[in-house]
Amino acid sequence: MTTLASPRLEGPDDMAALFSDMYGKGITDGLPVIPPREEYVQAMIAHVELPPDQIIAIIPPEGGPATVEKLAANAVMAGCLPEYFPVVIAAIRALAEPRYNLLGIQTTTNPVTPVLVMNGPIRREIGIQAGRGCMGPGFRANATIGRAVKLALLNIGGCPPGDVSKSIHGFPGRFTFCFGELEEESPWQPLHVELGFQRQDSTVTVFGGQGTQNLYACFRQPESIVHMVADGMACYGNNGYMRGSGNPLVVFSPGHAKVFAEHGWDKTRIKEELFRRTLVPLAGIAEERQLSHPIYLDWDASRSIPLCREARDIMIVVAGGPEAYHVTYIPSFASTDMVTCKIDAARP
Amino acid sequence: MQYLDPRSPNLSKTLFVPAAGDLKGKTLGFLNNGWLSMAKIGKYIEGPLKAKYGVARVLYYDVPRSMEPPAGLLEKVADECHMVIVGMAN
Repeated sequence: MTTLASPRLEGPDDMAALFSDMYGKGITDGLPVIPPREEYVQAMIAHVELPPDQIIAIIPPEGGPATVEKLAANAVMAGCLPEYFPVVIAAIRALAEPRYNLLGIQTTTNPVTPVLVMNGPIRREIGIQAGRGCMGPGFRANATIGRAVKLALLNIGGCPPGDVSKSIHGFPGRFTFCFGELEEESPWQPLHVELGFQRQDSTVTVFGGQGTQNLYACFRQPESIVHMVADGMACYGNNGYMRGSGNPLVVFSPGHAKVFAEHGWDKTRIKEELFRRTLVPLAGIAEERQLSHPIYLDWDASRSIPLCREARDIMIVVAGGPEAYHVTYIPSFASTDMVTCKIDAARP
Repeated sequence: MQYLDPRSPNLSKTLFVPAAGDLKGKTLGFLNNGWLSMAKIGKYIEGPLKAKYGVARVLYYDVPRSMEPPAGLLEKVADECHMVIVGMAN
């Protein structure tokens, strides 16, 4: 057992009173938490066999050092099992990559939150849900890993909502947002392989997502599906149209993926179709230009605004129940790029 | 019940710069991330900065919105200014 450096806090023994006490200290997300007692935190750290004082990342805006010990305490609070902890560490590493723009995501008025997509064998090993209902609620690994990351960003980054996190409305996905790709039911390369990793690698990819848009696309022809999905994506109030960057994320069910595959459509073709169909003619939007200096501020009125830089920046993941009914679109905060981190790298 | 504090304060404050101190005769920079209101606010503040606090010069630099500035820009700003305000105005 290693020595832990964190100050010890005292609270009531009664669980309900303890929660109120912890809530009053501003260290929760408003939902009940597991108190990070030393033995629980020790068990979490023991699973990764990393020194408790090892700094995984510096978390903005406060610049707090995310040590293994502090991350473990937040993982305990979220309800993680120790075997989930390597994923939390990998996710924090990914979030801290400069191109993810964690400072912006922590403090913006936008409702953006980290969206964690899991790939590889770890999904099965720790029970990450990738099938029906994968975005929640009801699955411990999904729920608590995403929550641990958010609690760490709150407590280590010093980012309470209202005072520092300036999101106008917030978003329920800010409690937790984590799911797996259903690779076994996908006709295509899984996300992490598309991004250059090996199929047997376990990875977490972090997106900056500003919500979910459900699209009911009960069709049997690929053209109909992309028509419907593109219509839902072509909302120029999404940040993508203001910045022309980021990674819009489209989550198809295995059923929709099968329809595409049976007609010979691969991810590249779908991305190209979506990119082309989501161009928004500048002539069709409000004449007044937004104060936040959109990319099209000085463009000729005959041009159209793209959702992101290029078609390949639209990312496609297969997850959820099998029916070819619903598609989930996760618009990007846009001032962010997705980052993938290998989970093995966070293990001993 | 005793438990560990999950917070991790930046005790060393290594990421923060020292207080600006006296402004008299100094060159002040504004990093403008493109919000249209920032250009107006910067110009508005420039008056009292010079008249009331004796700032000698105010320079403006455009930076990307919500993203890292291009390589070399911050070094250039550091060379040209005594202090800098990140202007967002949103």
